[in-house]
Amino acid sequence: MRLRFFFLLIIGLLLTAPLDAQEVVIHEDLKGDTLKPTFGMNRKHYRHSFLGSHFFLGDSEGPSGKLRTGLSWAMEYGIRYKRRFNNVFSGGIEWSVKRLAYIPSDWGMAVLPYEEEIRKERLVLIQTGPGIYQRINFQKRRGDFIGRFLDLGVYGYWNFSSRHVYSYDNARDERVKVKTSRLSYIQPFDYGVLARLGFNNFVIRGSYRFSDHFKENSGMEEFPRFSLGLELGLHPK
Amino acid sequence: MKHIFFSPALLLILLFVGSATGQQAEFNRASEPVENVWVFFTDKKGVRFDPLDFFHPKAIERRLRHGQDLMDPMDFPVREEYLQGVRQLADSTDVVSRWFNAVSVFAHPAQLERIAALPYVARIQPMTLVALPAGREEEISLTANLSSELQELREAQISHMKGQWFFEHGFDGQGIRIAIFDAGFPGVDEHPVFQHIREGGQIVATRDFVRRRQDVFGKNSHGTSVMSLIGGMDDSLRLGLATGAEYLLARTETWTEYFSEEKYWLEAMEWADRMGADIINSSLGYTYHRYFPEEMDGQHSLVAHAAQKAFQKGILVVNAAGNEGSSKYWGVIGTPADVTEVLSVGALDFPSLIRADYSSKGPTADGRMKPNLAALGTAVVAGKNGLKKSSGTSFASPLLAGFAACLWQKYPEWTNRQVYDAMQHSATLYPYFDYSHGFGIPQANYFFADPGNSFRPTFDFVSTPEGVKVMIHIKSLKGEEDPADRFLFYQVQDEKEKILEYFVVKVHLIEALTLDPADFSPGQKAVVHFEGYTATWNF
Repeated sequence: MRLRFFFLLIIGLLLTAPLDAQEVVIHEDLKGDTLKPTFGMNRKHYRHSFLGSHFFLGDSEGPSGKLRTGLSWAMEYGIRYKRRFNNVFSGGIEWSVKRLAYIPSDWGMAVLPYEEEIRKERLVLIQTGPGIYQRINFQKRRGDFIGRFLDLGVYGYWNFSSRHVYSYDNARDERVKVKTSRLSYIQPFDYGVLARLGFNNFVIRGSYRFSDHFKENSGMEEFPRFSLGLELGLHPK
Repeated sequence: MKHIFFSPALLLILLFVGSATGQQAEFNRASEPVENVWVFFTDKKGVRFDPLDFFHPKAIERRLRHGQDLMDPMDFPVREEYLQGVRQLADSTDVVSRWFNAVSVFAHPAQLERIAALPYVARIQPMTLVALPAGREEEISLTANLSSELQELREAQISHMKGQWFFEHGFDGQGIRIAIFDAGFPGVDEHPVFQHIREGGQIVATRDFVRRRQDVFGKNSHGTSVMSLIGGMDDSLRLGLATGAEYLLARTETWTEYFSEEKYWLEAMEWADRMGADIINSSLGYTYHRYFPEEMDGQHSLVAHAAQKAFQKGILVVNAAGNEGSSKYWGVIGTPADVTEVLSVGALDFPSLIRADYSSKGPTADGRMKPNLAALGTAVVAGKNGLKKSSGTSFASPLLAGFAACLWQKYPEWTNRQVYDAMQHSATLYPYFDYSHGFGIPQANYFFADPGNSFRPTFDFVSTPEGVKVMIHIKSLKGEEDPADRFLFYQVQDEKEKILEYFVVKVHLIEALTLDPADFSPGQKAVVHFEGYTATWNF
């Protein structure tokens, strides 16, 4: 009985449903096609997002500080605007959010209750801010694509989040994880210069940080200032 | 911040001063890289040319069939003194073009300045093109027997053009010479799909223009797949129609030399002409690396001019429309598919036979009708080993190159223009045209006494208070009473017959469409096509 009811209900719904005479498979409107676009990879305006990652090069500025190369790294996501001046020169601004994780091999910032050994320790900064750059393109004659280029620019970031994390095993052999946020010894702003060598979507990027991460009276040894990494331009097709 | 004196503001100022003076910026010229350019000469005075010695007999035959003078100055060699003069000043030279009276030169800017000052140099043009094979990375290798779906696809490759009418009447492209320009033909020398071609000695000549040698049976298998759709045969079943044609195989594309393809394509074009090619299939398109969509007017690229010249010489150039149809920034056909004389082919989905979303659309930048025709863009093709399913406009173009070969065999007295026109007239939508499908799929039965060729009206316009209704004729549906899953094409044209909008709709009811007069301006018209019949309603 119940099955019959559902069967009749479905039939009823099908019969009462509006039945379209047609289903549009393709619709192309050519009325606006005479307008010359100004937005594109090699047009007057362009905007795209990007993903990046880089490592820090060198040692900290002090006798004890060494970062664990390969584990200390940053990742970045941003949006970039490009204004084309001509086929060689363009410039623009970008805004990005970046997470930097410094993992020291022998740092000793952690405050431990007894003589325990630190298992893991890292300093994480999350920053956001603008960059401004000048682009020189090496392919003078090219169509609507990015091409090969060199970017030179500056950046300034606000460290809106800072966190020191470490863990150790206590006397009962339990793993204890300690997190400290809003670190008072971290400078609020970063700034530096950057350079990028691009091959269409793929970019090798390097930067040098002029500002210090740590406040002058903190007694902390400054982390490496050079970084080198890769970036992937996300260009909508 | 004690150790380094730095001012971001200063850097900013420096950067943007640089930008403002950018147009006048002078680099250290000695450090500038070598450029690859075309150097064009002013004349060919005093050169000697013997067409009987230079051309293959097939090329002479084709010229005579098209009523052309064998002593065309375009075919004369470039003056050796001019070449010597340029070689003395340049780093090196490679490709020499008789058609364009030009040579490809590698030189520093300072050297180019001296070359430009030579009295016999007409102009210098940078060479920066990258060809994109119009195949897509959607390949499924078939190691076992074909599934029923793929068998159906393989049959559809032929049947959607009604190609069986050709081979059932003994037309397989015999006597027609087809040149294929592609990125490599690995496996063509041993793959069973080409056994009949090898045994028949139908591969007349090969040339690798990239490596300057004869062997083309290596590198990228894109060309192998393309060739299989022109004349391949798997176990006596055809993958393409021109199984009896002769072949010239040219490798013109490489991924390692960034901006080199244009000159190889051009050189291959002249070689194919000299070797007597009747048809050239090029499943390659040149797009955003050098151009903007608004430049796709059939005039901007050197390959476009080369394709025009090939047509003048009686060659039918069949070219893939390109795979940029779904691109937000491109969308339209590439070059040389933008040339009027090139038969540009769009890709259709299987089994709907409606434009595949990747297939590049028309019109050209100057508003001309492109693509010309369409064919299946998904096909069963030969890979390096075995068969595979591939898709892209690359695979639509060779299907029609094979069609053209069979047609030309049937009408050997025809010129390339007649073959071009006849293929359009035979197509499923003709005289209806839209910028996605062109005139549709050419039909082989059109060239035979097939009773199915006569089309009767399949719908009526009926004026009602709600608007103009398009009413499908039940009787016109060839025995099938339900119009479901059939496609109706319609478009809005202005008074000058310019297409303003076009649609393809899937019809579910006899009352297929209602055109509201309020949507049309006076003088505009609706052109409707359904099942071989086209009619117009004037508003």
